[in-house]
Parts: sequence; C-alpha cells; structure tokens
Amino acid sequence: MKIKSLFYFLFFILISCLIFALYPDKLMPSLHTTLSSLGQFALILPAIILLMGIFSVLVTPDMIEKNFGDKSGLKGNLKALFFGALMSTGPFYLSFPMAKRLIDKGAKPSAVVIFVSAWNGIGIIAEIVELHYMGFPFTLIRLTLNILFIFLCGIVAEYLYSLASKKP
Amino acid sequence: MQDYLFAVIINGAIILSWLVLFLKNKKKGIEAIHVGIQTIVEMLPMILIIIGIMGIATSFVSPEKVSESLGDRSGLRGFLVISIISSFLQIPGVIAFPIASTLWESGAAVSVVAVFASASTMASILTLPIEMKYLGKKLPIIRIVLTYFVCVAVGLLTGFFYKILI
Repeated sequence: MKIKSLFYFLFFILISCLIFALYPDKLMPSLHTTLSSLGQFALILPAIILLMGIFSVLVTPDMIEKNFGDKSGLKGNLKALFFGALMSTGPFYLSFPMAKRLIDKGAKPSAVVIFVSAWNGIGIIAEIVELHYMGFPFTLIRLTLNILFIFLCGIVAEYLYSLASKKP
Repeated sequence: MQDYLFAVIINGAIILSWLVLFLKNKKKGIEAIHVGIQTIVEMLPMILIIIGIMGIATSFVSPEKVSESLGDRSGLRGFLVISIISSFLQIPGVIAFPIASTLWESGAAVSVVAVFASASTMASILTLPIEMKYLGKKLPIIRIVLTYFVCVAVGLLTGFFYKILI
C-alpha cells in the first residue's frame, strides 16, 4: 500500500517535471500556489493527526456491540449517525465491514445506510478540514442539510429495501 | 486572518484534549499519537499529489474559464457535470475540501462546490463492488442512487441558502 502510493508520488513528480519543461513560464505560479496550499494544510495537520488518533483509541468497534443490540427506530438511527461521524478516522472502505457489524447486531437497514453515509459524509476529521478550508457559514449550512438529508435517505432507503425484498 | 484564528483554536483545543487523555491514561495517549501519525503517513503521498495537481491546474486554467463554466451564471450544466463526475469518485474529506476550496477560489458557484464536496465523499459508484461485498446487493445500490439525489439537493440548497444568508 505504502510503496504503491510512493510510486504514484514519484510518477507525479516526473510528470510535473515534464510539464514544466514544456511550459517553463508555469513553474513559478504553480510552485507559489502549491507552497501556499501546503502551508494551509500544515496549519491543521497537528489537529488532524491528534484527532484521528484520539477517536480511533476512544471510539472502538466494541461500542457497536454495546449500542446496537436493541432494534430501536429513531434512537438507533441517531446512534448510527453519531457513531458513523465519530468513527470515520480511517479510510472509507473500513465503513463497510463496520456497517456489516451493525447488520449482524440486528440494526435496521435505515441505520446501516445512515452509518455508511455519516462515516463518509460528515466524519469528524473531514468536518474539521471543511471548517478550515471553507469557513464557518458554508460548513454550517452544508452540514445541517447533509445531516437532514442523510437521515431522510436512510428512512427512504429502508422503505425501498422492504419493497425490493418482498418481490420473489 | 480568519484562517489562522480557526487553526490556532482548533489545534489548541485538540492538543488540550489529547493532554487530558494522556494524563488520564498514558498508554492510550501514546497509542493515539502512534495511530494518528501512521494514518497520516499512509495518506500523505496522495495529499501531496492532489495539492500539487491543484497547484499546476490553477496555473493553466484561468479563474475566468472556471467561472464561465462553473460559476453562478453558467446555469445547471456545469453543476450536473460536476455532480455526475464526483458521484463516481471516492475522495476522502481531508483531500476533497482542499480541492473544493480551490474550485471556489477559482470562481465556481457555491452550489457546484457543495455538490462536489458531498458527492465525492458520500456517493461512490466506482467503489460499489466493495460495498456490495459486505452489505449485499440491494442496499448499496439503493443507498448510492438515493445519495446522488441527496447530494444534488444539498448542493442546490447550500448554494441557495448561502446566497440568502451571507
């Protein structure tokens, strides 16, 4: 995994050298933008590193076992939203085995959909990055809408799922 | 200026929370740093590549061109194209927002930026096979189709509310 991404990185350096050899006048503006973006990213890097660490230590997969035993409707959905957002400290593909655990614990389809969407759409780390890059108004509006619609999506998905499951 | 303020506050708050964790449980505190660094090291090459690509891209594509095709006056076409492209991709939030802010600074409309941010993180058609492997066939397909419409709605409404409120 690491070697592969390192290879991509070297490939990217090679391609950019080629581009700048063809368009030397683009070198300075590109370098300028890239360095200032790197600076902007470095500003929140400590927060990202610590937050990813803190949440992956504190919010463990065992919490799913403890919290999704009962098949409560709205409460289960709220929990799915909450845990999805807090657990999303790793890559997206970890959300699927985690959601599988929810199913195994008897969670409803709506909770599973909400969990996966919350993990990828309103993850705690991503929201910190969003605040930093997009500012408070944008983040607040999009986050509020996202939460509402993720919830709605879960409920509609469960309805469609039950329709699809009825057919022979 | 506002950027720095937020960065200082968030870094301070999180370092403080880590200190609390560390003082309560030294082992967990150290493990947290270890896991955090490990995760970021794995992501770093991809983050650097994306930041580099954005740097090069902005020197080739002028803000005029971006606002012409994705700006407020470009109509729905740019919005729909971006929504479809981003619903195929799976981009982690940490990388999606630097791209989104570059789009925004280059003159893209708020709705376009919002639909990119939502769809590239939540709806990912290309990774559907992985999702199906764990969650069966029906539920992931239903989720992705619905999520696409969710992202379109969130994009349009974010643009709408942003214009009214700010």
